[in-house]
Amino acid sequence: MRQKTISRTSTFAWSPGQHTPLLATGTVAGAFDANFSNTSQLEIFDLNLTDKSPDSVELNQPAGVVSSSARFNRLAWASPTVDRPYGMIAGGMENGELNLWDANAILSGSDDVLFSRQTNHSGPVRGLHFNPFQQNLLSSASSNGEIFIWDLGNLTKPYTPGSRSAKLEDITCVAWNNHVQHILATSSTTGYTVVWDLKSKREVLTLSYPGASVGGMGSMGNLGQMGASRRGITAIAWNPDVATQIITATEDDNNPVILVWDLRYAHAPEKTLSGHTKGILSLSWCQQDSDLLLSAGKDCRSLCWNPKSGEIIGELPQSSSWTFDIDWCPRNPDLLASASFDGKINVHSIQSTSDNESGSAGHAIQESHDPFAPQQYQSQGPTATISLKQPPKWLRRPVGATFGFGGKLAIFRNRPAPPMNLPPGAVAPAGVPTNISSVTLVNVVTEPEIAQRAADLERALETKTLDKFCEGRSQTDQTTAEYWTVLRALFEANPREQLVHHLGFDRQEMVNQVAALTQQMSLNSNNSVTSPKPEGGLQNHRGSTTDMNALFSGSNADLQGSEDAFGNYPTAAPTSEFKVKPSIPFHIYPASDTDIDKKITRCIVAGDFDSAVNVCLHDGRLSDALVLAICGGPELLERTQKAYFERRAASTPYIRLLQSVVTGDLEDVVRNADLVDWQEIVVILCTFARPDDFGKLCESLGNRLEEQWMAKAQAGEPADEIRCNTVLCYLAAGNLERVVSIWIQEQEQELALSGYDPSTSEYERNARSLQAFIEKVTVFRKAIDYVDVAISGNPNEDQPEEQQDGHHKLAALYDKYTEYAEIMAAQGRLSTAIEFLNLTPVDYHNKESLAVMRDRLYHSGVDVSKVPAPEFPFEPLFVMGEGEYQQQQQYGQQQQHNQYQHNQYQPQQQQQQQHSQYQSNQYQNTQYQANQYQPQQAQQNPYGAQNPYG
Amino acid sequence: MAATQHALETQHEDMIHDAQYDYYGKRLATCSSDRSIRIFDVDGESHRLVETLKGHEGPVWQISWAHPKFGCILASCSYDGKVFVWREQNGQWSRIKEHTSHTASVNSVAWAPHELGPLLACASSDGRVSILSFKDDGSWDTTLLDAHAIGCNSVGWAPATVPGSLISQGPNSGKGPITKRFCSGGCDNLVKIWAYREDTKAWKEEETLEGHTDWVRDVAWAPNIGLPKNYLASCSQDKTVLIWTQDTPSSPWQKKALRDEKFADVVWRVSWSLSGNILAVSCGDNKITLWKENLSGEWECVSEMEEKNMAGGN
Repeated sequence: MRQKTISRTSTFAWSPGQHTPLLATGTVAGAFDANFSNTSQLEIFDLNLTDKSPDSVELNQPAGVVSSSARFNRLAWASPTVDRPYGMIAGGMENGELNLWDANAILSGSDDVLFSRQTNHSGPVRGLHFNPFQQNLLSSASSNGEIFIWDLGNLTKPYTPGSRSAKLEDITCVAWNNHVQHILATSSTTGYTVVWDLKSKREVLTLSYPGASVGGMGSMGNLGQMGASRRGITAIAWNPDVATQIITATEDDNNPVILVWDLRYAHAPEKTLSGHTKGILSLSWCQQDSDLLLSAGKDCRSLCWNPKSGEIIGELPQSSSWTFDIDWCPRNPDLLASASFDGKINVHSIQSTSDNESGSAGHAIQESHDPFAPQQYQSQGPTATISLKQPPKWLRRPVGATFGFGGKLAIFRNRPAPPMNLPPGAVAPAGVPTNISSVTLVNVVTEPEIAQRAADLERALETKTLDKFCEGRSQTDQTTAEYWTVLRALFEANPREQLVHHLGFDRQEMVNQVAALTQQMSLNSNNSVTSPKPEGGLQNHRGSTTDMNALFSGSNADLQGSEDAFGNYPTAAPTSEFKVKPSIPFHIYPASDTDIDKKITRCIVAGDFDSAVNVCLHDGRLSDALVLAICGGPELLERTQKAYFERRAASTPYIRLLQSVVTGDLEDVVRNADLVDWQEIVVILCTFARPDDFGKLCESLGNRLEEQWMAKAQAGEPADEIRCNTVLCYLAAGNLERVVSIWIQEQEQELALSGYDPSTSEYERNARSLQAFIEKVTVFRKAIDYVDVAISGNPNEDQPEEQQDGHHKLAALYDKYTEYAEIMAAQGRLSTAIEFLNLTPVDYHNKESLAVMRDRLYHSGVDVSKVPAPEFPFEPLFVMGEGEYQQQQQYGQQQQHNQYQHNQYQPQQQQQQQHSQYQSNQYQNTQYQANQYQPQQAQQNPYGAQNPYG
Repeated sequence: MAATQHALETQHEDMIHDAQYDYYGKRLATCSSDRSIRIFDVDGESHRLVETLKGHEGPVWQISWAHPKFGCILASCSYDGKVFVWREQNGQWSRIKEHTSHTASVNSVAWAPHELGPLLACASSDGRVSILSFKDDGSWDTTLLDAHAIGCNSVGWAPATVPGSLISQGPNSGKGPITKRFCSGGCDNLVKIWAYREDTKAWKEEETLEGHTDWVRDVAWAPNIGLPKNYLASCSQDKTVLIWTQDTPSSPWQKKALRDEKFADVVWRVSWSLSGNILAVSCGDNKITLWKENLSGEWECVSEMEEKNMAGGN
């Protein structure tokens, strides 16, 4: 499609830089306008491509202009440099001059625009090309076979590529090789093309056009004087991709062909492209797509070829006079320009979907809607456009990878098919693919460590080896080893025992220690007789050395460790279990007896233990009271014990402890014992608490610790240890809510810490932390067989507040589960993700991402046999076709939406068996909408009664 | 980084130019120079061709699945300069829209985040971006923007800041700031950011990001990761990938090369993972590399996927 027209009879050059393309035009030699004006100008046009209005097609005002001393045979434009932001323009002049202008100076209207004028050439300069690798190197060529290589940095002395070639007279074109920077080709009116190697400074190859003759043609003045019978080579172009391929074009009207040469077989052309009816004047091989070659000539045609296949794949509208210059825009080869002697430079786009060349011709417009129709490119009419059968290479995206839900990556790739072994010149048979294409679906696991840990956890759950799992974690995870040890304990047959052990209370060790201590005491003591057995301290009458329960096992405890009990009254041991010392005589009422003694003695004698105990208690003889009470029966003993505790507990902590143990009042310990000894408290609970009370007691202790932790944390004191202790208590208590709440705080605090490994990513860090959290919670839940009533319970029995968002006790945990499910899904662990989402109640909507995830996972193709279908979490807003709306008008605006869906999905029910899950998903959407979103319409819905969805 | 992969046999008769999963990752659409679009059901390693969509008169460059709340909708764009919107209904696919405003190849199509409603952006070699807004009554509005003078190669939407849209939050509920922005990449080497101005009811070029030295091939706005920071990736003919970041919606965009040295070939596509933490970069040498940003702000290549033997593929 023609985009722009410049009314000049000029040769031109595209700007090479990365800015919006500009076009330089120079009044061409050998042509006169209607006024026979002989002025010559170099102009630069801004194409103003964004303006697509019909008025803007014609470009009249150049962005810069400068007059020149002579007319132009050739223009070349070098890339911008730091000094010259728009680069340098070189002009090969009719009078043999080589002129250089600073494009920026022209554009800015500066006076000092001519950078250099060189007069080394003896005749018209028609060859001009900047080296593609080194833009400061310019080759110029003229009549008499003169070739110069210029260094723009130092123009004083040009180089020559070698000694003058006898095969060249008037040089028509020079071209640097696109791959080997020191190779240069020159073409001549003689019909010869000479290839030069500038390194060895000589001509290395000559291509001869059939019928070429040295010196036979005489010298050429300029383009306009070219005769009809010339056989010279007017244009050459190197293959953009292949170093050894070059194309030459001849101006020979009798045989106007384009020859494709492989320099490795330079004796004859590889291929001949025939299509022009008169001599060819210009060639341009597209740098971005070597399947595109432009040619233009004296037959006024501009053709686009696929040089590989030899096909003509497009044609520009014919001009009314010779087209002498044609070139792809290097910046964007969607654009090309052609210049002809009818006074026009046209800028075309190679592609268009609508034709504005002849807007009134309806037929043309219709045709142009199919730019690939074969008749299009063969058409030579004024509406013809270049319409490529194959789109240009630069639009053909060859590779791409795009992420999808669930860590999926869809990759497509294309690569050229391996070359076939065809004889030179042969065309590949049709139907053989030129590309091999593939689609690869990849499940990407970007966090393999997390995924592995998730898999490990899953396996441990399945194989019921969570104890081993905990053990592993307690060893590998230093920071949470404490938790893992406790969690592991929960899986043991006697978890309390394990907990005690974990807290550093090894019973066996304690027994040994005490034994050692008592033994030492007995050795040091002279009155060892007071201890019936040296190790008797713990080896009580139950004979158990390992069961610590026995240590405190109630009223019959051996109290000889108490000094009060036995220290002052070594002989007053009246129970039958004590050995009476028979050989020592004694008085029942010795003289030394006090009144109290006597009273007690009397009571004993009378068998009134009750009174005896009372007297003892009254006198503070607590040990005696106890011993007497033993004789008085359980009821008395209990009372006495109580009295004993009342008096002694305040002053002797272990007695108070014993009191709690004996009376079953562990609350006292939990509430009032100093938290410094929290571990002992836990051990006591482990040892004595009834199973029913254990949890509550641990929880109470946890509450106290938590308060302490909060207080410290608020005061800014280090409190992590207390927090950890709190968790241990809650773990022991089996209190998921409390544990989770602290673990979440812990996790978030951990994430907020600045001390991190800078080589990890934010996501990774978060995922890792979350994984650790999830592991702990999952194991804990399993250990206590936690049942979340918000999920499993009968909703009717739930407390009302449980039903409302944000009031779930475990809301914070559900949010973590959602977050975790997202990570699992991103790692392709969709089943894991859905399992965790199943741990959240369906009515929980605190995070909308949860509902979105639920829906997305459900339909992602994972096994959902155990999962209820989630509601579609979006309000449907179906995109309709153009005609569909009208069809629905009869039902009125109100029912439009329902009606539409009813129509849409009704048949699906009948075909349901054939349908994929995906489609039934859509069906559910409908249901959802009918039920949830438009309740106000339910009654108006004409289908309301029968509608199976409503 | 671990990955399992398998091949999907498309039966396309020419180059494949795009492959896109649907919202649920359950279906895959591919498009090709053979002018067709193919839809596959994907279940693990098994795939089933569901449909072949024909109608384009040129190579089909790109496809985009709409959010399921708009129905089962696919948009496609082609060298024929047209954009089609296809819909599946009762297991039958049909073409429900034809967008023919462009005068040259349409190179990219992208549905907006669903919060913005059914909105489709299209980028064309004619230098323009068109925004189609589909309305309840089956009609639609077209806005044409002159975006990149010598051709536009890619469009990508910014996430709507408010993530997700539940029952209570229609697009017009006015809840929270929903941003309506997209980015485009063009042959003028530029990345441009466009924002819809509610006051003027018009799209406005908000930012021009200069950094590439050749055509911008693809642009991708990272999904919202709950941070105020915006991430945008662009890749280019110049064999580089640039990461553009904006710390807050009002701060200037900063650019950073994904890596210091150039890639081996033109970089054709950049794609963010759904959680926004991984960027997949597709290079002309057929290598796909995955990148993530570490906590010190450096981008690291965490995986490289070379082409496996494609013998027998087509």
